[in-house]
Amino acid sequence: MSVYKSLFDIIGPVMVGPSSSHTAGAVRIGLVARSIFGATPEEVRMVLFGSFAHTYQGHGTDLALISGLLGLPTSSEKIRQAYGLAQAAHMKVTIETSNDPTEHANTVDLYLKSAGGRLLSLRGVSLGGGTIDITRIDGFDIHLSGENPTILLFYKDQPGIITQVTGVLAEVNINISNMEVSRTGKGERALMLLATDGEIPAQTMEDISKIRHINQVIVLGALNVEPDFISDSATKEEYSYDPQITGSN
Amino acid sequence: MIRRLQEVISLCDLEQISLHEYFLRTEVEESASSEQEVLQHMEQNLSVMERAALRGIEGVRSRSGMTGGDAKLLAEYLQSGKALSGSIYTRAMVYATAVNEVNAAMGVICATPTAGSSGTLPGVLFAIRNHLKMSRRDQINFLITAAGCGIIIGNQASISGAEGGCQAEVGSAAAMSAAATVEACGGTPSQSGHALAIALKNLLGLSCDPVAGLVEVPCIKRNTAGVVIAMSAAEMSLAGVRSRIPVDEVITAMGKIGRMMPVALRETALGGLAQTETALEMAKQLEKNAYIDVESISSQKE
Repeated sequence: MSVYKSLFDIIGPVMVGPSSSHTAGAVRIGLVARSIFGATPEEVRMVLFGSFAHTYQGHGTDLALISGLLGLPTSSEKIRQAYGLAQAAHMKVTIETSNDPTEHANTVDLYLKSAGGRLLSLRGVSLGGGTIDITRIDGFDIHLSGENPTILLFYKDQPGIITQVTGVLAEVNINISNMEVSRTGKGERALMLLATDGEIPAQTMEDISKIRHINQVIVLGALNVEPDFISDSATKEEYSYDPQITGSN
Repeated sequence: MIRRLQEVISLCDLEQISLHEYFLRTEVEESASSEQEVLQHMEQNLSVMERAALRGIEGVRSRSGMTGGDAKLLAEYLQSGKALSGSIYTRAMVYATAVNEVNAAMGVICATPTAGSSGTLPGVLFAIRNHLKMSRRDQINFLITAAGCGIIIGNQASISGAEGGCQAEVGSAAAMSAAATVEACGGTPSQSGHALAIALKNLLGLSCDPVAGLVEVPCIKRNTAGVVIAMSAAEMSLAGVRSRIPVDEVITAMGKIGRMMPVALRETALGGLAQTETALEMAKQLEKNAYIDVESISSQKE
């Protein structure tokens, strides 16, 4: 599997240290979980596996996951104060570690709960260099990197659903770059993931949600990895010279 | 999708283009971004690296208290004029240390390819850019070539310490830096490939055994040493020295070594340096006080 596609998977992300897999990757797992959930959860239970479980305190993995769930970017210096921020946002966090074997070394299971009792569970894997893979959502085995805009459709498994959905997208000329379907059994609950090349208009989403047997539609934007603090030109000017260290060549 | 570096090198030779031209073109084709956007994004990342290097030279301290201040020491040593390895090599060591100390201090860095290995690539670039009179665009090209090589390493082997040990992190960083340095010096794509292979070969098998599980010891000093491996590999290749093992076979070997490594040596802090007497003492102190008094521990030992 080709995990790395973009130059910025390698030179990037811009992030607070100390670990791209244990800190930045964890922030991004939290961010994707937050955007699937669509709100700040009231309760979060985290179960850490493998290297995440062994070293989360030193790497600030807990701080990073919480920060992502609160919507902070990987480059935010506020990540250090994650517990305080969670308290202020009325998000209750519990952390557990597990010795159960997992496929990848850096794995976390997240269980989110809203004030109204709405639940979401997902498994996030940090692959290295800040690249992530969400491998399970509410029991469905899938792959979601968060790199592209993605539509998540929960529906009742029926013939013809895929054609109807892709038909709506084709009408507005949106290209599907990746597609995945997972179901609990024939004719039972199913989840469809559609990664697209461009952002999806609201009207299109509404059209899709009207299709019979579709229960829930979630639209995820591409993870924003652009740091927001270096857009000012003063910064560039200030640092465009070579740091002053003298010595003859 | 290209998986092997040799294929890229052959394509570059055929079309008479450089590695950065190839990788930039591919990025524009496969992403939704324009060339201008890609260059701009890379320039922003370059600025982040510069900011981190400057901050590190001023002297930072990690939250654990275990590391910091070594970039400052190295910079003072360089300024004293006593450095044996000459100003370019020592400068590279200063910058690499500076960036990685900032990372350990939870400061803002750009992963290259990871945070634990974020010092090596800027270390090399900032040391050579004045000497080679590299323009801003040349420096961006340097990063593009390094990134393109990193994609190939990541997809054929690994860039994750938890998956492949430190060879996958600092090893990959040094290999990417070596290839980009050769290009910056006017070498051919094939010479970049040999430099990448030589640098990576010299770091094969390196374990990831961070003390107390923190990205500090030995990570920072491995970035410092990584620049020397990278630059020596680039110089060998520019001199005409060739890797006897083809570059993609070296990369694949790195991935295989990673899979053979016990979990204890892959970022779990359960083996190697992390389990030495002193490291365990440090870990204990960290757990008890959330801080490591390095001076008291080392004075007991002396």
